[in-house]
Amino acid sequence: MGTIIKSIAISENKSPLNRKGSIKLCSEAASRCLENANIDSSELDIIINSGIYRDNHIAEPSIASILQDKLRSKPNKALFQSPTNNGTGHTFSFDLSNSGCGVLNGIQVIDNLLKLGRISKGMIITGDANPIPELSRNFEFPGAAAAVFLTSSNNCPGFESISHYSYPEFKEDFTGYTSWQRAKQNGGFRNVLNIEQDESYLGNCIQCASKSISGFFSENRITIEDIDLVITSQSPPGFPEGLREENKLPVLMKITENNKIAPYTAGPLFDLHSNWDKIQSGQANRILFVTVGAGISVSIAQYRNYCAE
Amino acid sequence: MNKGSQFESIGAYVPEKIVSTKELVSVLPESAVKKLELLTGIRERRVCSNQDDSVSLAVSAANECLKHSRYDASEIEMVISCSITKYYGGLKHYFDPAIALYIKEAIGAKNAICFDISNACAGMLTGVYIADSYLRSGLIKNCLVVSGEYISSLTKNDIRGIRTIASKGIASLTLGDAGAAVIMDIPDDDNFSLSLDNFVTLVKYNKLCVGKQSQKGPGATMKTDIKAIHEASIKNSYPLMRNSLEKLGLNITDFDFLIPHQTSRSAIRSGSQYFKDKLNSEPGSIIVNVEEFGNTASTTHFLALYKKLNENVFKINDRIMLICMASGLVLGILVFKMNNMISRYGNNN
Repeated sequence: MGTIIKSIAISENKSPLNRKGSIKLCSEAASRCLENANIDSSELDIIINSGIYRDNHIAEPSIASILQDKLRSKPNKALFQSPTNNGTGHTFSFDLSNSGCGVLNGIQVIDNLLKLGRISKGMIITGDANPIPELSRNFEFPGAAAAVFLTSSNNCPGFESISHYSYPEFKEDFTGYTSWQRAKQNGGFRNVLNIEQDESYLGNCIQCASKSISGFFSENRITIEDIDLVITSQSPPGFPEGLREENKLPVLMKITENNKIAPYTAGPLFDLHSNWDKIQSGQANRILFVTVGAGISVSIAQYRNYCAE
Repeated sequence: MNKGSQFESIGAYVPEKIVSTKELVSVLPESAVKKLELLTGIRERRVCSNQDDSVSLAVSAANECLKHSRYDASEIEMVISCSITKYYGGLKHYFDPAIALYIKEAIGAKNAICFDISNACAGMLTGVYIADSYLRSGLIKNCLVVSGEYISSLTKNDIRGIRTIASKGIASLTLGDAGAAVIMDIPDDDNFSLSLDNFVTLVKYNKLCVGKQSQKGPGATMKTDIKAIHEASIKNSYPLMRNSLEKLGLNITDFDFLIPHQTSRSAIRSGSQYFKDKLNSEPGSIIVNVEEFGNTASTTHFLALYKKLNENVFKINDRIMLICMASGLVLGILVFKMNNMISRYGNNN
């Protein structure tokens, strides 16, 4: 039995005059994803949010629960009135964060639960936007969100292996944190978000990801010839191009030429979305996901799209 | 596929500095608020000094857990950090990288996969839920689920806005700082496997407790409708508990201990009475651990378990139920039998 991606959708801030926060972007992407899959949100057993930079730095409840609420299209049922989530009738949701790799961590959690038979439908939603623009330094990620709906298939392999690699010697290369400091505008003290990226971060991401790809190929006894398409993180800017060049990776389509827009946690799903029609038509069946993020963390997954007759 | 997962060892850590409720409410005007200790049963709480933060609390708890474990830190295969607060280097709240990375580095779990989970006060039980699935799938052989809650900044920020006992910031006065950790692995005897059931998020109630960064002081702020969230938690936990008991073929009287989320003595007592009235029976004992520590957010269940382990309260095969209740509204039931880890706490029962 395999875990497959049944549908995918994205949402982004296209106009600087119409700035949507991460919750709005995430709920738009998730709604479209549900529509594409022709299911209602009440049928989801589990929702995981792997976005990091959220409206007003909300710490509780989880952003996943806020999104679960926003996606509700029908009145709440009492407990145990539908088969969702093992008969409880209500979705279980939580946040999972691991920088740019959170999406693959979340996919692995859902994959486990599907294979154990604990759930039958799960969704990953991920998105970031500047939480409070007037109280941030160096936040350059565009507002962007994406969602994938995952379920089981009896005759499609789907996600075959997911592995994680850690290079903590580079943990100070990229940090994002709030601290109580003078806000730039009025000089008063506030909790200000600081994004700090060392100039070596991009190069180190490419090197760590390249090393991880070699390790992954060796662990799974495959080579680059076994892969039709590589889906990658889009951040830091220059990562997809650098990784492709370093490893001579196959790619069907770039998201944009001279891409300066680099969605953060939603980046890999933006890449997947831009290639989705080609994947669905069978032009790419053997897909390698390579995600990278602060830590430096790398997560890699092998996904096989072709189904047995 | 493996049998299941078990708790292999448990650890906790509280900072040394003590702040009494009496001291806390002495600055407040209204006499009803001054009865906070009487109302909540919280006599005192632990508060971080300048040397502590979420990461150091988690690291101390993890090291305490490892002291009682058969595993060395280098053998730990996964670290899940589950705190609401992610302070590192004082009151700097970290988003990148995951603080699980700092924790695993500090304890020497260099080979571990790591990531952060956040699910309000349900964080650690959510981490256990995830770890259980990884262990049952055979992807890992063990996992450290850990949380360090440096949560007292909410008290400092919210106390300024409190006028009466009905103020929305009053719950912030019940909070205390703590770290807790549990190592999970695969049991030799399925008798000790965890049963995790009925984990749900009832989003109809998700505006009843909201916490975010403060703009009035370093750290965070929280607004809670205490009465409404308590009623919703108890009213909805009961059918989940009853369903879990039916599936397990058990009665509540089969349980030696019940540990609900630790918010206040009065809340735990009124909840226990509600369950007793509905079920017409009760467990052997309900653990209340708020007197010295207050509400320590995601660490409450494991702080309570750790304290009782060190007091030699448990016997092997004692049946224990943990009830998850958290902002969201997140509810869930975890049932397990105490195993021979008690011998590693000097207990030969």
